[in-house]
Amino acid sequence: MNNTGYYSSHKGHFFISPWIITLLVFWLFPLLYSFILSFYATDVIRGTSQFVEFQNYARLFNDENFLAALKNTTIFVIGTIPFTTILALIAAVAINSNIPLKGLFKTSLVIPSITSMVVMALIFSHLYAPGGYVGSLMRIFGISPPAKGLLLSETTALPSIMAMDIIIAFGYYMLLYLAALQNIPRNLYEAAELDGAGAFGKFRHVILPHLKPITLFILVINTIRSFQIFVEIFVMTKGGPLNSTLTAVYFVYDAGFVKFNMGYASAAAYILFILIAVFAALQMKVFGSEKGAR
Amino acid sequence: MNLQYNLTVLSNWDIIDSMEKAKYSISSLPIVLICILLCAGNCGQQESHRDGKIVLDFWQFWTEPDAKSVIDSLVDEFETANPNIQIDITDLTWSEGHSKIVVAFSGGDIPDILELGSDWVPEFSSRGALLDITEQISDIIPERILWEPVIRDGAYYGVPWFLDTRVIFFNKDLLVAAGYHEQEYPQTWSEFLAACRRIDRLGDRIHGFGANSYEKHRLYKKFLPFAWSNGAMILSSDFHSSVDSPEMLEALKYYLQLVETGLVDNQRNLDMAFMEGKLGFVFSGGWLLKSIEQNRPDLQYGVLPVPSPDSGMGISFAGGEYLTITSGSENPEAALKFVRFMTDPDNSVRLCKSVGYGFPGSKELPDDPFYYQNRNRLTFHKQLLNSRMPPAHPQWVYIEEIIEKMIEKGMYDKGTPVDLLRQADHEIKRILSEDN
Repeated sequence: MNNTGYYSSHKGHFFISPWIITLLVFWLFPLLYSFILSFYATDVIRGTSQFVEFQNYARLFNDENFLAALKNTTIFVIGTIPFTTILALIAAVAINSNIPLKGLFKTSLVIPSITSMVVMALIFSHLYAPGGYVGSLMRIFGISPPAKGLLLSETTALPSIMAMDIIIAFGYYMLLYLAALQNIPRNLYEAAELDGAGAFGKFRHVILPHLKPITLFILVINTIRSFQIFVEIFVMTKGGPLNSTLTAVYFVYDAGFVKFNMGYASAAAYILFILIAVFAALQMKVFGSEKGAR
Repeated sequence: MNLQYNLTVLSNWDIIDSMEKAKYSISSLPIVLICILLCAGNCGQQESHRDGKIVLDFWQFWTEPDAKSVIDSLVDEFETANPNIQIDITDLTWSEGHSKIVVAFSGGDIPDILELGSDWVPEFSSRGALLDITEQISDIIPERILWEPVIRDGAYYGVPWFLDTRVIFFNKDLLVAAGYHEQEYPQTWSEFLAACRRIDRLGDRIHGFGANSYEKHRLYKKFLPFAWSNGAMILSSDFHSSVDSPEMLEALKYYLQLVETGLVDNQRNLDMAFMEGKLGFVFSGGWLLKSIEQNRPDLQYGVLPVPSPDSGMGISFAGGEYLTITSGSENPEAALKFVRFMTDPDNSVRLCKSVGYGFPGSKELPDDPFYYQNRNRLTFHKQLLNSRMPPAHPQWVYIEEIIEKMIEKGMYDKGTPVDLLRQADHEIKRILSEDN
């Protein structure tokens, strides 16, 4: 018996080794290496680097571009996640009930989230352009869109990208909610009905408590994803106008792969890492705390 | 062979078991890892000789089929004429190429001959990555133009290969609609601004001037010609900031006036709007000639030199491709031979014709109907001889960002031109002092 355990554990190692090696080479090593790099001023072409202690970090907090990037990223995260989550929940509950054409709705809501982000960003660039559909829609409701187009106006560029992100992303989270909804035992609904609960009562006392774990998962995953927003910015605005859509990862890309200041880019990436970790920990604390009580 | 062996191993559990008995454990993973890294390192190493021939690695960016076939046939001709040299071509893309080159230098996996865009050369020459070939090319220096990007401290680090400049494209129909006679074109700043305004008033969907929105590495190229034409410079010849000057102020104010008459968008959309006949003027390069030829052959358009403040021709922004030899090349003489062959004007012209625009590095207009039978290309050539490139400063990528932010702030009314120039001057001085 003992022998079998020994063998199978090593067989296991053998089988997971491709994954482990990839993990070490392409994930853990760069992760640690970039932490070390963040304390160096590097010149990639010359191949020289100089230890500068915390100078990269200190400079970042005096860099108006980086501060703008942090601000925009935080606005993006706080401004999109509640909408994405609530929309996903509403759509999932609606599709889970017996509405007509639910297959059609489900498919059309999910398609944007599985389409390449570059394609979606290009489509939305056209929708947002001066004379595009979104501008025309706004005019119907009596709002005059900015003359330069939504993406080229300082006040509307970031909100436009946020709205796009909500529309694209919530379909995927809706699927997760749908899966969770279908796991709720039928008899709970019946019990609630016997107790005299209406549609809202069932939602409040049966559905919501059961969706708590998946909500926490969605929040954390979506937070991490939203903090890393890049493709939309790269395709649509390149951080402009006037830094109004500059985000943290775009800043890291620009510092690292346009200016080749790897140390500086690594330091910025680590600050982002800390920020994401704090946000995720906060969410787990707030949403995970009542677990024991249920 | 190896693969087959591995498959046998995988299918044979006994062997795996015996390996385990030999205490084959997870602890050997680091060794496997090191082997992989070593192999990767070795595989990346360029070979300098093969079958008794000199092997040269050539990294280049021409990948579209027409241009690539010209590159291939030029390389074939070179190899036939020099049977002891073999050229290995690596294709790079515009989006990834720059990163790939920088990463190659950090990894030591460098080519012999490298095509670099004009604005990239200083970044590499200032770091000792390129070979000083001043003496070897001294005979062709007087015959060719636009050497500025490859010169550093008086030494030459490359040869101009493919040059292009930017001119003003105008829509003939819109000019006539705005009340201009045929053959009546704006030449000075005030005439040009007036024409932009008149066209802009033609209708809601018609715009005067196509102004670039904030696009890194692009916006400054559209502004600098107006500064240069007015005698203003970003950096003095000894690399001090000269941004805060009355000439620059005039240029900035003028440019912002132009922007007011126009459509603000990225280059792709501006070119598109021009082709759709919605723009009176757009400041663009040779690629638009080709694009119009392919997509809107019936568009009534022409090209004009950059307007100057008073009379004569303004100064435009040239760009181009340069061939450089890396300082690590093991066969610099053979590499030089190849560079001289490729940059020979007769050979460059073949490349230009396949691309549909551009000029070789020679002073004289090549004797080819491609050029002298096309009025637009003739205007391009005149402008090319009246063009400049940005200062070859290693920190230029930071300086151009400051200039672009300055223009952008002006376009969004985030300060008066006087304040914006002062601010930009302050920031450029900081970058320059950090560099020293």
